[in-house]
Amino acid sequence: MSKIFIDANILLDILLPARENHKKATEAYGIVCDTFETLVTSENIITTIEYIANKNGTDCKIIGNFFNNLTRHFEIVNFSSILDDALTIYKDACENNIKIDFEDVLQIESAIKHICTAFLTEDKGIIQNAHFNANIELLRLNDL
Amino acid sequence: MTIDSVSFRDFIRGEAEGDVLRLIDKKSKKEKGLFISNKYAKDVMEFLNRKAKEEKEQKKRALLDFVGKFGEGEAFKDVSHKEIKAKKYE
Repeated sequence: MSKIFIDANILLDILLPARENHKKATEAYGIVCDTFETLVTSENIITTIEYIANKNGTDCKIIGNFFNNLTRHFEIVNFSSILDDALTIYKDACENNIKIDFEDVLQIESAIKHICTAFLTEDKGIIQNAHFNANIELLRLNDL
Repeated sequence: MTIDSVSFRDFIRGEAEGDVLRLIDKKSKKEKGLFISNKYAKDVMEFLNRKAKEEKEQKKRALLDFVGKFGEGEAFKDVSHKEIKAKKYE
Protein backbone atom coordinates (compact mmCIF):
# COMPACT_ATOMS: atom_id res chain seq x y z
CA MET A 1 0.00 0.00 0.00
CA SER A 2 1.59 3.28 -1.06
CA LYS A 3 1.64 6.05 1.51
CA ILE A 4 2.93 9.58 1.25
CA PHE A 5 3.61 12.02 4.05
CA ILE A 6 2.78 15.61 3.09
CA ASP A 7 4.85 18.30 4.80
CA ALA A 8 2.81 20.93 6.67
CA ASN A 9 4.20 23.70 4.44
CA ILE A 10 2.82 22.00 1.33
CA LEU A 11 -0.66 21.86 2.87
CA LEU A 12 -0.40 25.60 3.59
CA ASP A 13 0.77 26.19 0.00
CA ILE A 14 -2.37 24.46 -1.28
CA LEU A 15 -4.83 26.18 1.05
CA LEU A 16 -3.48 29.75 0.86
CA PRO A 17 -3.58 31.19 -2.70
CA ALA A 18 -1.15 34.03 -1.90
CA ARG A 19 1.74 31.65 -1.26
CA GLU A 20 4.36 31.39 -3.98
CA ASN A 21 4.04 27.63 -4.48
CA HIS A 22 0.22 27.59 -4.46
CA LYS A 23 -0.34 26.68 -8.11
CA LYS A 24 2.46 24.13 -8.23
CA ALA A 25 1.38 22.54 -4.93
CA THR A 26 -2.27 22.34 -6.00
CA GLU A 27 -1.35 20.58 -9.25
CA ALA A 28 1.03 18.25 -7.42
CA TYR A 29 -1.69 17.38 -4.90
CA GLY A 30 -3.96 16.14 -7.72
CA ILE A 31 -1.18 13.83 -8.93
CA VAL A 32 -0.46 12.67 -5.35
CA CYS A 33 -4.14 11.68 -4.89
CA ASP A 34 -4.06 9.70 -8.14
CA THR A 35 -0.77 8.00 -7.30
CA PHE A 36 -0.82 7.23 -3.56
CA GLU A 37 -3.45 5.26 -1.72
CA THR A 38 -2.93 6.90 1.66
CA LEU A 39 -2.16 10.52 2.51
CA VAL A 40 -0.43 11.18 5.81
CA THR A 41 0.32 14.35 7.73
CA SER A 42 0.98 15.33 11.33
CA GLU A 43 -1.57 16.65 13.79
CA ASN A 44 0.71 19.67 14.10
CA ILE A 45 -0.98 21.29 11.11
CA ILE A 46 -4.45 21.34 12.66
CA THR A 47 -3.88 24.10 15.23
CA THR A 48 -1.93 26.15 12.68
CA ILE A 49 -4.79 26.10 10.20
CA GLU A 50 -7.27 26.96 12.95
CA TYR A 51 -5.05 29.92 13.90
CA ILE A 52 -4.90 31.17 10.27
CA ALA A 53 -8.65 30.67 9.82
CA ASN A 54 -9.43 32.58 13.00
CA LYS A 55 -7.14 35.47 11.98
CA ASN A 56 -9.05 35.59 8.71
CA GLY A 57 -12.45 35.49 10.44
CA THR A 58 -13.47 32.23 8.76
CA ASP A 59 -16.79 30.83 10.00
CA CYS A 60 -16.12 28.10 12.58
CA LYS A 61 -18.55 25.80 10.70
CA ILE A 62 -16.24 25.94 7.68
CA ILE A 63 -13.27 25.16 9.92
CA GLY A 64 -15.18 22.22 11.41
CA ASN A 65 -16.09 20.89 7.95
CA PHE A 66 -12.47 21.16 6.88
CA PHE A 67 -11.26 19.18 9.88
CA ASN A 68 -13.89 16.51 9.22
CA ASN A 69 -12.67 16.16 5.65
CA LEU A 70 -9.04 16.16 6.70
CA THR A 71 -9.48 13.45 9.31
CA ARG A 72 -11.62 11.35 6.95
CA HIS A 73 -9.19 11.41 4.04
CA PHE A 74 -5.82 11.75 5.74
CA GLU A 75 -4.06 9.57 8.27
CA ILE A 76 -3.19 12.11 10.94
CA VAL A 77 -0.20 11.03 13.02
CA ASN A 78 1.22 12.34 16.27
CA PHE A 79 4.82 12.56 17.40
CA SER A 80 4.64 10.65 20.68
CA SER A 81 5.63 7.27 19.23
CA ILE A 82 8.82 8.60 17.58
CA LEU A 83 9.91 11.14 20.15
CA ASP A 84 12.77 9.00 21.55
CA ASP A 85 14.18 8.24 18.08
CA ALA A 86 13.89 11.89 17.05
CA LEU A 87 15.71 12.99 20.19
CA THR A 88 18.53 10.52 19.50
CA ILE A 89 18.95 11.90 15.96
CA TYR A 90 18.85 15.47 17.29
CA LYS A 91 21.47 14.80 19.98
CA ASP A 92 23.67 12.91 17.52
CA ALA A 93 23.53 15.81 15.04
CA CYS A 94 24.32 18.24 17.85
CA GLU A 95 27.40 16.23 18.90
CA ASN A 96 28.59 16.25 15.27
CA ASN A 97 27.98 20.01 14.93
CA ILE A 98 25.24 19.45 12.36
CA LYS A 99 22.42 21.95 12.61
CA ILE A 100 19.04 20.33 12.17
CA ASP A 101 15.51 21.50 12.81
CA PHE A 102 13.65 19.41 15.36
CA GLU A 103 10.26 19.74 13.64
CA ASP A 104 11.82 18.42 10.43
CA VAL A 105 13.21 15.41 12.31
CA LEU A 106 9.82 14.75 13.92
CA GLN A 107 8.03 14.82 10.58
CA ILE A 108 10.55 12.57 8.81
CA GLU A 109 10.65 10.06 11.69
CA SER A 110 6.83 10.00 11.78
CA ALA A 111 6.73 9.27 8.06
CA ILE A 112 9.21 6.40 8.44
CA LYS A 113 7.43 5.00 11.52
CA HIS A 114 4.10 4.99 9.66
CA ILE A 115 5.66 3.20 6.67
CA CYS A 116 5.34 6.03 4.18
CA THR A 117 7.12 5.36 0.91
CA ALA A 118 7.59 9.05 0.12
CA PHE A 119 7.76 12.45 1.78
CA LEU A 120 6.53 15.51 -0.16
CA THR A 121 8.37 18.67 0.79
CA GLU A 122 10.02 21.84 -0.50
CA ASP A 123 11.83 22.41 2.80
CA LYS A 124 15.53 22.95 2.06
CA GLY A 125 16.43 21.93 5.61
CA ILE A 126 14.93 18.50 4.96
CA ILE A 127 16.13 18.11 1.38
CA GLN A 128 19.75 19.01 2.08
CA ASN A 129 20.13 17.14 5.34
CA ALA A 130 21.21 13.57 4.66
CA HIS A 131 21.77 13.16 8.39
CA PHE A 132 18.14 12.14 8.88
CA ASN A 133 16.43 11.88 5.48
CA ALA A 134 18.27 8.83 4.08
CA ASN A 135 15.58 6.27 4.88
CA ILE A 136 12.74 7.73 2.84
CA GLU A 137 12.23 8.96 -0.72
CA LEU A 138 11.95 12.73 -0.80
CA LEU A 139 9.70 14.20 -3.46
CA ARG A 140 9.65 17.87 -4.43
CA LEU A 141 6.76 19.55 -6.21
CA ASN A 142 8.67 19.49 -9.50
CA ASP A 143 9.16 15.73 -9.21
CA LEU A 144 5.44 15.13 -9.74
CA MET B 1 -26.76 -15.97 -9.79
CA THR B 2 -25.64 -18.42 -7.11
CA ILE B 3 -24.14 -17.07 -3.89
CA ASP B 4 -22.66 -19.45 -1.35
CA SER B 5 -20.31 -19.58 1.62
CA VAL B 6 -17.27 -21.84 1.61
CA SER B 7 -14.19 -22.47 3.71
CA PHE B 8 -10.78 -21.59 2.28
CA ARG B 9 -9.77 -25.23 2.34
CA ASP B 10 -12.78 -26.39 0.36
CA PHE B 11 -12.36 -23.50 -2.04
CA ILE B 12 -8.72 -24.38 -2.77
CA ARG B 13 -9.66 -28.03 -3.23
CA GLY B 14 -12.23 -26.95 -5.79
CA GLU B 15 -15.03 -28.37 -3.72
CA ALA B 16 -17.30 -25.38 -4.09
CA GLU B 17 -19.23 -23.96 -6.97
CA GLY B 18 -21.06 -20.71 -7.38
CA ASP B 19 -20.95 -17.31 -9.04
CA VAL B 20 -20.10 -15.59 -5.80
CA LEU B 21 -18.42 -17.39 -2.91
CA ARG B 22 -17.97 -15.86 0.53
CA LEU B 23 -14.66 -17.22 1.78
CA ILE B 24 -14.74 -18.16 5.45
CA ASP B 25 -11.85 -18.97 7.74
CA LYS B 26 -13.07 -22.22 9.30
CA LYS B 27 -11.15 -21.74 12.55
CA SER B 28 -12.11 -18.17 13.39
CA LYS B 29 -15.44 -18.27 11.49
CA LYS B 30 -14.52 -14.89 10.09
CA GLU B 31 -15.35 -13.80 6.56
CA LYS B 32 -12.08 -13.20 4.70
CA GLY B 33 -13.22 -12.08 1.28
CA LEU B 34 -15.09 -12.96 -1.88
CA PHE B 35 -14.52 -15.06 -4.94
CA ILE B 36 -16.25 -13.72 -8.05
CA SER B 37 -16.65 -16.00 -11.02
CA ASN B 38 -15.58 -14.85 -14.47
CA LYS B 39 -19.21 -14.36 -15.44
CA TYR B 40 -19.50 -11.39 -13.05
CA ALA B 41 -15.84 -10.35 -12.70
CA LYS B 42 -16.07 -7.60 -15.32
CA ASP B 43 -19.12 -6.02 -13.60
CA VAL B 44 -17.43 -6.17 -10.20
CA MET B 45 -14.21 -4.65 -11.57
CA GLU B 46 -16.19 -1.83 -13.21
CA PHE B 47 -17.89 -1.12 -9.89
CA LEU B 48 -14.59 -1.18 -7.99
CA ASN B 49 -12.84 1.06 -10.51
CA ARG B 50 -15.72 3.56 -10.27
CA LYS B 51 -15.49 3.44 -6.48
CA ALA B 52 -11.70 3.96 -6.53
CA LYS B 53 -12.16 6.97 -8.85
CA GLU B 54 -14.79 8.45 -6.49
CA GLU B 55 -12.48 7.96 -3.51
CA LYS B 56 -9.62 9.74 -5.29
CA GLU B 57 -11.95 12.61 -6.17
CA GLN B 58 -13.14 12.90 -2.55
CA LYS B 59 -9.52 12.96 -1.38
CA LYS B 60 -8.80 15.84 -3.76
CA ARG B 61 -11.92 17.71 -2.66
CA ALA B 62 -10.90 17.31 1.02
CA LEU B 63 -8.33 20.07 0.45
CA LEU B 64 -9.25 21.73 -2.82
CA ASP B 65 -12.79 22.67 -1.67
CA PHE B 66 -11.16 24.78 1.06
CA VAL B 67 -8.64 26.70 -1.04
CA GLY B 68 -8.99 30.37 -0.09
CA LYS B 69 -11.57 29.62 2.62
CA PHE B 70 -9.05 30.69 5.28
CA GLY B 71 -8.22 33.87 3.37
CA GLU B 72 -5.72 34.48 0.62
CA GLY B 73 -2.92 34.13 3.15
CA GLU B 74 -1.20 37.44 2.35
CA ALA B 75 0.12 37.66 5.91
CA PHE B 76 1.50 34.13 5.68
CA LYS B 77 2.76 34.07 2.12
CA ASP B 78 6.49 34.11 2.85
CA VAL B 79 6.54 32.33 6.20
CA SER B 80 7.02 28.69 7.06
CA HIS B 81 4.74 26.54 9.17
CA LYS B 82 7.26 26.85 12.02
CA GLU B 83 7.23 30.64 11.82
CA ILE B 84 3.44 30.75 11.81
CA LYS B 85 3.41 28.58 14.94
CA ALA B 86 5.94 30.86 16.62
CA LYS B 87 3.81 33.88 15.68
CA LYS B 88 0.79 32.21 17.22
CA TYR B 89 2.44 32.07 20.64
CA GLU B 90 3.89 35.60 20.56
